[in-house]
Amino acid sequence: MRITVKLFATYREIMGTSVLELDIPDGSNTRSLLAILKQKNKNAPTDYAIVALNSEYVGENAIIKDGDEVAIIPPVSGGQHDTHNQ
Amino acid sequence: MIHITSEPLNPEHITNIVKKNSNGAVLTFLGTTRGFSEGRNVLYLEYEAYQPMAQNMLLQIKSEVNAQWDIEDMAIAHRIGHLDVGDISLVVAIGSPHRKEALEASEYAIDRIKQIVPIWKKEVFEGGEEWLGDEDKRKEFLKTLSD
Repeated sequence: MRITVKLFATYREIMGTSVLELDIPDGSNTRSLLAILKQKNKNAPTDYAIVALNSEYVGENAIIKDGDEVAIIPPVSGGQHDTHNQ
Repeated sequence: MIHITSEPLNPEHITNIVKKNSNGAVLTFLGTTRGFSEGRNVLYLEYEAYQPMAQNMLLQIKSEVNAQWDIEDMAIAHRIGHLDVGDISLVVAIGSPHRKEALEASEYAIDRIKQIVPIWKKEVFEGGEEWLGDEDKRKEFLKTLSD
């Protein structure tokens, strides 16, 4: 099946693109997609990635369907080493 | 009003949206870009959003605030793109009959924005650049995700 993967921030820079059109096996879940991305680029982070499926946050075992848009969500803005931020 | 834009934010305009005769308290929070961070001299920042999800998450936060404090008058504007030091990146304006609710709701909304809204910032400083994120809030949020 064919899906669209959107990449942002750190993840986009590591993968060198903001969008990927991928053919992945039927029955894949978000965890297996992260593993596929890791195969494409060994620097792709897998341990901390949050995933959104069709613009909704999902857990790592969410099933992906044909035509889905999957977004890899790296940390949101806020300043991780500055608790006084904003 | 929920707005994500690459144009400069106008806090007065956004505040006026929530200023009503029924609201004895009007609270406006401005997030601005710092010139110094971790001993670095910051040159500028780049903000990036996943749309339309970012907009949807801001709407969700507005609903959460409405459910918890019965506050209807709330405006959030987030700027994206290139921001110079001192620019306003975020405006959260809340109007409510009494101040307690406005103060509580404001803190809640800002925390939630940093937790769930897919907007990222890259700090470009003298000698390098780094994407920044709030890992503590993120880990809290990760625990809430289930399939």
